[in-house]
Amino acid sequence: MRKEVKILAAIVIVVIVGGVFAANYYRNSVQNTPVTANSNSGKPKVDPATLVRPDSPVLGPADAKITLVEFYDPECESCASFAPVVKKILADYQGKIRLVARYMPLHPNSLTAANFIEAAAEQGKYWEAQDMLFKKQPEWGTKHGPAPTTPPPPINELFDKYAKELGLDTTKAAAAIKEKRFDAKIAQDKKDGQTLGVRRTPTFFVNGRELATFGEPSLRALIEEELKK
Amino acid sequence: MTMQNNKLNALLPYFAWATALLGVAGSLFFSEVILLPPCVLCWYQRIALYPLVFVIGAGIILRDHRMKYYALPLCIAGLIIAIYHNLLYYGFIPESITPCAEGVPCNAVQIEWLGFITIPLMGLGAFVFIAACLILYKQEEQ
Repeated sequence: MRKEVKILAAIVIVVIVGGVFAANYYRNSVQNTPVTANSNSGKPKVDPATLVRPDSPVLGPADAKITLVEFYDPECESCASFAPVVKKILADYQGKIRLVARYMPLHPNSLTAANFIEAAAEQGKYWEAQDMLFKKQPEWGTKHGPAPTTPPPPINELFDKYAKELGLDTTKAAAAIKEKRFDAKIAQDKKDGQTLGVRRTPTFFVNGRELATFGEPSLRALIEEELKK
Repeated sequence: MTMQNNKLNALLPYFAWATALLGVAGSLFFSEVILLPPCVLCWYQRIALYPLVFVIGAGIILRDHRMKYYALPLCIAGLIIAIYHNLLYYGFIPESITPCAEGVPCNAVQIEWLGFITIPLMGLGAFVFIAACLILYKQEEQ
């Protein structure tokens, strides 16, 4: 082998190894410092209230050891495909975990969808509505790629249909969506998310510690770590 | 040419290549680990920067002195975008005329090390350094 090849290969290996170490170091440091931890001045870096608002929907006991905060977008494909995992985790740690749902609307129809979920929440069906929108997302969500040959039905008609299926008072729900009644609450969620540095959905916080590597194994590992405390 | 100059000259392609490699590693670190979404201008600079690793690398291995003529056009293209990006970032050109109003604005401050080292500045520095190394590199007498 030529001398040059050896030199270049050696440097490439050093950079790759260094990069992997740096990535691990960075991710650990992000995950190990809760966002609500005190900074040098003694005050919390981020007000704990930005993580959980009094009006944030919660699933699970209030005194649970683990508070899992999820920033999500009803129109985000990854959120929809990760939803069953979240459900499984909630079932596995029943009694020890509570889920707090926050909006991070980043898609064209997210606001309307979040208004639909909130309208359902008014009638006591937050989680059912969230589940339904995730499952029906291919139907109502913005499509990528070329436009379909047959135009999709208007989103309001679809949401009306879903409201019926959920057994909601459809006139009440439709009115709420039409007047965008919950826009302010959704905007507050988004603002809190930005304060916390949420740039993508879903983003999870386990007892205030941000999950640095998205995925089921890393989320479970972080929960286990917090349970052992 | 003195001995020392000769040695330095022989190292110039390595400096250029290593800088490009660090640029690749660093930009990937920002986007994949720190999870900062790259803005449009950053993408264009990546297009110019990433191939430099392969072009200069191949030139070094093949001991091809014409390598600088293959690599310089890429490097100059990246340099021009980097200059534009920095002018924009530091407010010499207003953001309204840029193509990146949506998504991540190209003048959004995401990193500021030691109070002045920003991502656009690192990009500019990399292209200036690589271009300087390539331009200064002289064909050795065989």
